Amino acid sequence: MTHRKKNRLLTTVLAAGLVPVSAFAGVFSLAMAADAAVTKASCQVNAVLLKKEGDGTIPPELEFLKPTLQTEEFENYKGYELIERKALKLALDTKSEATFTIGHRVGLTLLGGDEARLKLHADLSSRDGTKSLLSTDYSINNNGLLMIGAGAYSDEKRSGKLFFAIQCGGAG
Amino acid sequence: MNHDSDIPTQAADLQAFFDGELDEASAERMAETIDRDPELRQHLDQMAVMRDLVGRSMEMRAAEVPRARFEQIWDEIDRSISQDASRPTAAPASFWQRVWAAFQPFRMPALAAAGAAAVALVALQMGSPEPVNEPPTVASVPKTAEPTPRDVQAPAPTPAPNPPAIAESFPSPPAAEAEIHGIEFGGKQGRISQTGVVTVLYVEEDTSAQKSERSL
Repeated sequence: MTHRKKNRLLTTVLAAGLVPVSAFAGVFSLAMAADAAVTKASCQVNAVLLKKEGDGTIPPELEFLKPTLQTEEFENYKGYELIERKALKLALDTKSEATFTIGHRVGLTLLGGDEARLKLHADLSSRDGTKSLLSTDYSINNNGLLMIGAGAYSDEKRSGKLFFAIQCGGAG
Repeated sequence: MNHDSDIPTQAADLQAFFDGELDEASAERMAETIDRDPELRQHLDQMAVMRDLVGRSMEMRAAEVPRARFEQIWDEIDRSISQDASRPTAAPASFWQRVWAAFQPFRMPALAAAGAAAVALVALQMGSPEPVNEPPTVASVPKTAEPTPRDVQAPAPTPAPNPPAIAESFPSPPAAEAEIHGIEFGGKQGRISQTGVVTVLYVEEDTSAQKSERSL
């Protein structure tokens, strides 16, 4: 058998073996991806007040934000206070809304995604609820955090900068 | 009447008087001079008019800048000041570091001399005869391994009592930025900040242009 014939035979054998395997792998991957698409998500929205006065101690209820609050972006703030925390359950393409005692409303919609990454829509109203301050579509890692800085906030007891920390985790 | 050589000095003094930078005695003298000299009085009036114009122009321009932008600028300034303050300053060189630096020109010759001495020593050792009537050297017997203080295991520290548990159904968020596909700011003000750890969207509720206490 010549060298060329050997090569041709080897190519044919390999092709005959690899094509079905590749096809099966492709179909299997698609099926797995379809299975992994999320249709529900759980979110928590935290209204947090950051103050320039304080000893830098992060309270236990905001411990999950510690890596974020210790970044350069927030290094000017030394006081941290959780004003209110709201939990939201999201269904695909259905808006869920949380109204905070300080007046702001946060709306969240699950637009899609998979086990690794979620696609969401978020909107934030003004304190009196009359106008929209922000409306955004974003994608983020599962359980990832989005911060919204809503400007200065003050009441009788406290003052500082108001932030909303939004964290969502998807479910099948 | 002003002499030519006095004019620059007088102009500088007049400016300092106008800015309130003269000491009390000089200011009194300058005030008397101005009272006597109508030309100086005119200069002073012109300076006042100019300052008023410039001030008004600055205020008008400041009014066009939204308060949120001022806050952002001041935040950035605060941040840069904090960074400068936290930057470690170079520690003064110790005595041995200064000695080492002083001997810098002699280091190479000293190393060369040391090398030559070492070579000579080795050559002498190789040339010397075997020692006689000396007890054979015996390999030292290893001592029973005694536990050194480092080997002794310190008692495990008792774990610090955990802080009171807070009901937290969410895990710590992974350090990841969000990808923004579309965004609308209600008041046409806002910015996106990607820190590498988290994405922060800044909005400002009060969209009207107004002076901040930090404004010009």
